[in-house]
Amino acid sequence: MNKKILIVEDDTVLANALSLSLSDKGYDIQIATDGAEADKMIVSVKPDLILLDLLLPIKNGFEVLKGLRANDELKDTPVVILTNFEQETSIEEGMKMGAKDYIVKANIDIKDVPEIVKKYI
Amino acid sequence: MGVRGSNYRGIALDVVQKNSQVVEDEQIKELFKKKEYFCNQIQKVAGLGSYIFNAQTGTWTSSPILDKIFGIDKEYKRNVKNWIKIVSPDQRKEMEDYFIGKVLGNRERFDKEYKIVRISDGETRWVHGLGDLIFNKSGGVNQMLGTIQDITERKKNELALKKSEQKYRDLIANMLDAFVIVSMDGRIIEFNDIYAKMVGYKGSELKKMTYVDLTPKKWHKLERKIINEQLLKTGFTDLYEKEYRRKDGSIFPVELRTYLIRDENGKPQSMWAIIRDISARKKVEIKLIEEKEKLRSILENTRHGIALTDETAVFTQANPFFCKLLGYSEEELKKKSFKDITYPADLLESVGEVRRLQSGKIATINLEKRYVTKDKEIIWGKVNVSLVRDERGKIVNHVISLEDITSLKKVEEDLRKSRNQLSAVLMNMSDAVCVVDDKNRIILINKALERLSGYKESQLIGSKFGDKIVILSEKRGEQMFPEETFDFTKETELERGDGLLLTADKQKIPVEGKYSPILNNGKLMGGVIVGRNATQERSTDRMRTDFISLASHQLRTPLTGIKWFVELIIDQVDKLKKDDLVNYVKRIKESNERLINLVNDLLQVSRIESGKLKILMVRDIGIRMILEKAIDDQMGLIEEQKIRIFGVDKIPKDICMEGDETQLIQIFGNVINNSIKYSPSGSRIDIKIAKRLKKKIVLVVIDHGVGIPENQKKKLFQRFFRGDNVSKDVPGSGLGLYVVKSMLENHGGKIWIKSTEGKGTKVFVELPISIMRKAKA
Repeated sequence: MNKKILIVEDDTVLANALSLSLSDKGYDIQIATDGAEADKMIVSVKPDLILLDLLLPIKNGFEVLKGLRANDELKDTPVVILTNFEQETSIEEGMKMGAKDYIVKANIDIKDVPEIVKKYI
Repeated sequence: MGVRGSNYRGIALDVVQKNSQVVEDEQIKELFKKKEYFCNQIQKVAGLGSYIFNAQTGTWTSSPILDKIFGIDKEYKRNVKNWIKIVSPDQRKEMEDYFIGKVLGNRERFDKEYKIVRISDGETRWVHGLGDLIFNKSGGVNQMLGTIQDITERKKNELALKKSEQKYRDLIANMLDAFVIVSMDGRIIEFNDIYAKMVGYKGSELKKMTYVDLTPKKWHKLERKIINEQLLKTGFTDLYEKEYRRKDGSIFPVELRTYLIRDENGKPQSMWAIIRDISARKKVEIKLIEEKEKLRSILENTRHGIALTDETAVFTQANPFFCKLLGYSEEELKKKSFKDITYPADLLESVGEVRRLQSGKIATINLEKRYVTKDKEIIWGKVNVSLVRDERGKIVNHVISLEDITSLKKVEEDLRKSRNQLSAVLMNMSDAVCVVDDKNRIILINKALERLSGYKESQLIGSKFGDKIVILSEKRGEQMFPEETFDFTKETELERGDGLLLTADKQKIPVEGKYSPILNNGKLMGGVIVGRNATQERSTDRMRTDFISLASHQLRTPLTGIKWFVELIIDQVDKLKKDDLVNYVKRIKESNERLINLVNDLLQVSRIESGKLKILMVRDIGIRMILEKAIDDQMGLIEEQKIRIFGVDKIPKDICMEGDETQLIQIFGNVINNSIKYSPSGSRIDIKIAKRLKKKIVLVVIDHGVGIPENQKKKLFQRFFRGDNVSKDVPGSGLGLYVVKSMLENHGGKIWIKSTEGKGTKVFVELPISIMRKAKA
């Protein structure tokens, strides 16, 4: 069975690119475009890895992460924060909340994404 | 000396001799009787007693006068032994030796003045005894005939004379003043030792000199005049002063008075003078004059006012500076009391002090008080008053010394004022101030610190800085000022981004500030901490950081989109289908458009925020015209979304406002653009006047779009805000409404929104208006 990856990304262009890049490698890709949707999909999809953006409509990435950690069944799901928001405090907070990595989207190539994913799956 | 004259003695002797030789002769007897009588008469007149001494018997006979002189009667045994008894005891030996040895032995004539003790009354008398020896034929002594004269009175006179002469000699010799007698032509005749010593010549030298030789030439004329006009006229001169020249040439001052001595004919014979060397006195006099002059000079030139008042406190004397200070002349002051020139408000104290002085409770008055000058100016004086009393203790004078301290007082006053000002500034300044001593104990705080900390001054004074007033590091969470290792001698900035003040009610307020030590010659006296509430700054800082993060996030997103799709195209260029490729390039274009719009919006925000967005104010811009142009700008989107806009044609053309036309069009363009973007295709938008007042108008743009969630309305006008319900579907920077709001505010307008999620939004825009006098064509 293919590994399931949940992409939480409100920008459709980027979600599209990520999806193209990862589905090519045989991952089962699901996309949530806001925080509330992400919450629902985490529970329903039970992904093997979450690529989590931070600035999201309705609920931001930290709130989603907090919800995940509160879910006993799913709290160990690996999360990689993938965002263009780069602030010292948010990096600190993300790592503190147990994210595997904090990656700035603009700083990576699209072909790097499958390798990052592979590291935590 | 008539009594002792040889005539009388001769007669007496002659008489006695003849008397003894012709005793028996009757005629002679007769004659003798006559002569004896005569002789006795003469003896009586002359006080001369006579005797005959018989050398054979050793006895003598005496005349009645002699008996009287000796004070003996007829019974007295007249022998040598009894004569000796008559002689004064102190001379008995001497007289016995004289009579036996000299007279009888050497056969000399008896001639001796000696004292006797008169037998009759025991009184000591002086007598002069004379006696001639009469020899017999064999040459032996037969008789001695002689006389005795009482010379007591003469002796007394002689002694008295001698005594007074001695006295006079002693006086001259011993007098302290020099004494000199000169002849009328000036030759020095007689002088005492003092005189010789005074002029430094030997006596022998002086006798060859004149007083003129001893007098410096400049005095000659004056002295001559004194002699002519005083001495020769009245017999003496007034006391006058001149100078003498000593042998060594030195000149010294003298004081003298000269007397004239006339001879028996009244002709001026000589002059005498008592002269006193007054060098010492002159020196003292000169010194006294100098001292007086000094004192006068001091009084004239001192920068102290000095004055005397009498016992009633009326001025009697004042020095020039005192007069100058008060503007009165000395004469004017003499009619005034100190009360007349004292500033009324200070009078009570002054009078009280004078009373205390006069009653002896204080020795001097030391007072700072005000005076009123003649020109009615007020001056400040530092005054010192003391009393002069006479020997009975009665007050004679008050001595007043006055120093002008007006400028000092002014400085003091200015200083006090500036200190008050400083303290007022300190107390009321918006920055919190805390002063600590060298032990870091709080000694002063201002109101701002009370407000900031929530502590009262009384709670903080004396406590250590750090006990109640605690400053924590926001990052580290621990006390940061003063730290344990804090160096109180160094100026230290309290970091702007980090300090948190713990208030009395345990709130943490962001603060920033600075500690400055107070050093005196390198020694720590204390320190000053100035701080302020930095909440505003810190939130501004955070906003700036947030803005940068958000702006870079917004920029990175389309950039990442472009990057990734370009990479995908490059990676898959061989296997990509044409449709996919078109899709990928469309994605790139889309991201690119977003980027351009975003950069434009950011530039506008930056201009607005830096105040560089210029407003070209133009009057009489028609509101309707603006709306029409704004709609026109959105025509492409309107047609794409098939939106219909109603109501603009109902807005009166004469409603005008003053403003920047381009910006006003952009404001409404943005608002209408939002309405179109978030409305379903084919829906309608209404633009109406919601309210019209005399000077303002409220327009409303009504759409039937997605609306705005209730919890996000507050954030609507923040930078980079995008509604949760739209962000993923509709591109936008989140800057549009922020720009609209800023521009509207620059025009004196307002914007607010009423919206129901899912039903639509009403955007209200308020603008100041005027009515065009003449509608634009």
